[in-house]
Amino acid sequence: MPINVNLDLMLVRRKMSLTELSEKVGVTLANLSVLKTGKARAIRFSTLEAICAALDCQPGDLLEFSGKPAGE
Amino acid sequence: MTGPSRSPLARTLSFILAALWYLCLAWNAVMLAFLIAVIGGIKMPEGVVVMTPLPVAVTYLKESESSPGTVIPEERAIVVKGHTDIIVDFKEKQDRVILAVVMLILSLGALLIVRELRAILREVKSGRPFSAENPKRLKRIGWLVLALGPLEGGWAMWMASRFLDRLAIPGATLSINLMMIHFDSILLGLLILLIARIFELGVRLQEEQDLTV
Repeated sequence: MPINVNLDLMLVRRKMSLTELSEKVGVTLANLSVLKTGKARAIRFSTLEAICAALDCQPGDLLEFSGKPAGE
Repeated sequence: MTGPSRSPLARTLSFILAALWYLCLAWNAVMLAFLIAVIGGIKMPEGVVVMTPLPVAVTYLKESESSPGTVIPEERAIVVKGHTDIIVDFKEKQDRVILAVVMLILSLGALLIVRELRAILREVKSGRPFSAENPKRLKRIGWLVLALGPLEGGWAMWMASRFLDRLAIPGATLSINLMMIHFDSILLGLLILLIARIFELGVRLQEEQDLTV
């Protein structure tokens, strides 16, 4: 996937565990794991908003385009 | 994601399907025993007759119009039990074997359909109606319905065509009644296959939904 999720990186920077984030954001741990491991197909704006608010960061800090065009 | 369903409908359905399942099992056992008895040439107990309805229409002629019918030799005649629904008692072993085989296939088909239905209901009750298995189950049900209906109708029509001249009903002419063949099962089977396709789409959407955070 050309879009990488850097959730684990931001968690380390904010010294927060996934469980803690799950409680703050109101998204299940299972769903956050899906996001963290890069298995997610889509992310809701509401989820992105909540994570950004909880980690005090920008969407760009969480998502990164790796450069390869989609489908390769 | 919806939680497990505890609706009265689901409960009633699962009760009915469970009852149907055991009925089908018993039916299969009886049909198997029947087939073995027929092949083995075991005589039916006193009072047990091997009968089946045939898709035959009866037309009665007026007394004056009725011509003296052909006399059917006793051993070739087929005993007719009812006139509105032609029910015949098979005397020849070959006919009995064919009847037993068709009945066993039909009862097995019914058993398989009930089994798939119960499996679908189980998943609906557990809150996962769009599991990957359900479209496959629906497809199997669709093909079974599609195959079994014409088998039943076609077999009955073939039997009727063979027996038409051997049915002894005084003052009546007999013809094969196409309306008594279950053509509706073809429509039903196609409808089930269509629903299976719709369920396939549902499974894809469910997958997409599950992977959306």
